[in-house]
Amino acid sequence: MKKWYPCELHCHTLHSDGGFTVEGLISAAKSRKLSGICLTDHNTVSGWEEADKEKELAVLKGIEYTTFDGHMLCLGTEKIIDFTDISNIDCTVKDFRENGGLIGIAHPFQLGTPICTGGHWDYKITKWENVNYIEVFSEGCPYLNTPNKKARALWHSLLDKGYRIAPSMGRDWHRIEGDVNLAACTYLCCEEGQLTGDKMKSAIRDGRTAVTTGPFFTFETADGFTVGDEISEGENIIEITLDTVRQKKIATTQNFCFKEIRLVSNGSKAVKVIPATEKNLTFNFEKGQWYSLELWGDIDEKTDTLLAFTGAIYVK
Amino acid sequence: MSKIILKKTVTHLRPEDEKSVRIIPFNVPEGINKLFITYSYAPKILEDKEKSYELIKENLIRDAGDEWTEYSDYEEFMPLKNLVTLALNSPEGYCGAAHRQADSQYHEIGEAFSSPGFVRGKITEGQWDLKLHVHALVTDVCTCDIKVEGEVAG
Repeated sequence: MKKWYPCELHCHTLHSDGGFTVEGLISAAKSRKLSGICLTDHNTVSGWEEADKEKELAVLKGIEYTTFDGHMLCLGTEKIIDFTDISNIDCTVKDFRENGGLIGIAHPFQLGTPICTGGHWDYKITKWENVNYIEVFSEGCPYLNTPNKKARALWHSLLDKGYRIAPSMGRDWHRIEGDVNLAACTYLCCEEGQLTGDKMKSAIRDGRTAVTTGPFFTFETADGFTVGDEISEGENIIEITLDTVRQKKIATTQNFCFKEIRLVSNGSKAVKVIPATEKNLTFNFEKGQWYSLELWGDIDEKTDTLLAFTGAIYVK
Repeated sequence: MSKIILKKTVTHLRPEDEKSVRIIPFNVPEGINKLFITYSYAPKILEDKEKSYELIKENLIRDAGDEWTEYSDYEEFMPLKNLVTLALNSPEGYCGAAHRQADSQYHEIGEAFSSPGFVRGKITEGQWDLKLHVHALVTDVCTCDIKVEGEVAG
């Protein structure tokens, strides 16, 4: 049985420039009702040893390679380098993958140097098949602001080219102070039971991610397929989950208004739009296409924005 | 316990050094069980507002594309800062980095404990490299002071 778990995939501690101790980060994650985190300090793994002591919260150990030309998240590999040794990004990424790692592009359209040093992704990746995920929603403001809009367009364009890449929301969590949209996270679909770093890693690798500003939003087909899976062409019914339990406990001062659900496919086209009150959607899925389900509506004063979306399901 | 100085150096960085690495090698003799790194750099902040505006505008045009004019409040990006972080390599490989904004830092490296950012490990003899990662260099010159000391075992 599979179950979706709320996780934060981009976290920093005192081991780089975060305000948290590792213990403090874990405690903050628990109070946000997260089930797992990725520990991704800038250019170091010195926090991993403390993270190993944690027995309740799942921790997937990683690093954020904070280079001069982009920030790259690398999860679940013991292979660690000095980023200044990177001479060819495709070779480096391939090497991490061959050593068991997962690769994510952090905040690809953040402003770069000197405002946010190296924050803008300037590497020219040609082998996108080695990239597992892209931070489509970044930081504490994960609506469709300009950088996130561009990241969504990049993600869609790569899906159009046939790459199977998962989306994530990365809070880029450094400290509690200044946090907004407290319930925003990435849900990961994992084997039910105690969540572990390994299970988180499998979910990201298999593209089983759903991104949200708050509500838990995903889908499953009538025959049990979900995000990241491959389905057959033809008519299919998808059952929609829109659950606000965690959101209401965490984002207590925020007002959400769910308006519509859009099924989005190749070329970022909304191929079907239904009211957010609907519980299922019937659609004739076309051969070779990808589909992502999006939830649109208002969050506080921000109107008609993207509130949540799933990773893609692929049609054979 | 006594300490010996393994390296003491002053490095001057300029805007053209931005996005480069400056390697500072030092030799660790036999019988050292801890390293202590004292590091500072100055200035940290670009005080010149006019120059800050120019650099921010360049940054926005380069990275925000057609939307660069959406960013109207340049003050929110000020003051612009130099960011020169320390990384360390032992003869065995990469030991980590102190990727943070502090312009005055003190680190200890050893088998039982290392300061946050650096993995703990035995201090092996041989050539070690301190690396200055020059992430941002916005002032005309930035002076980095580095001292590495070793604790002699026994």
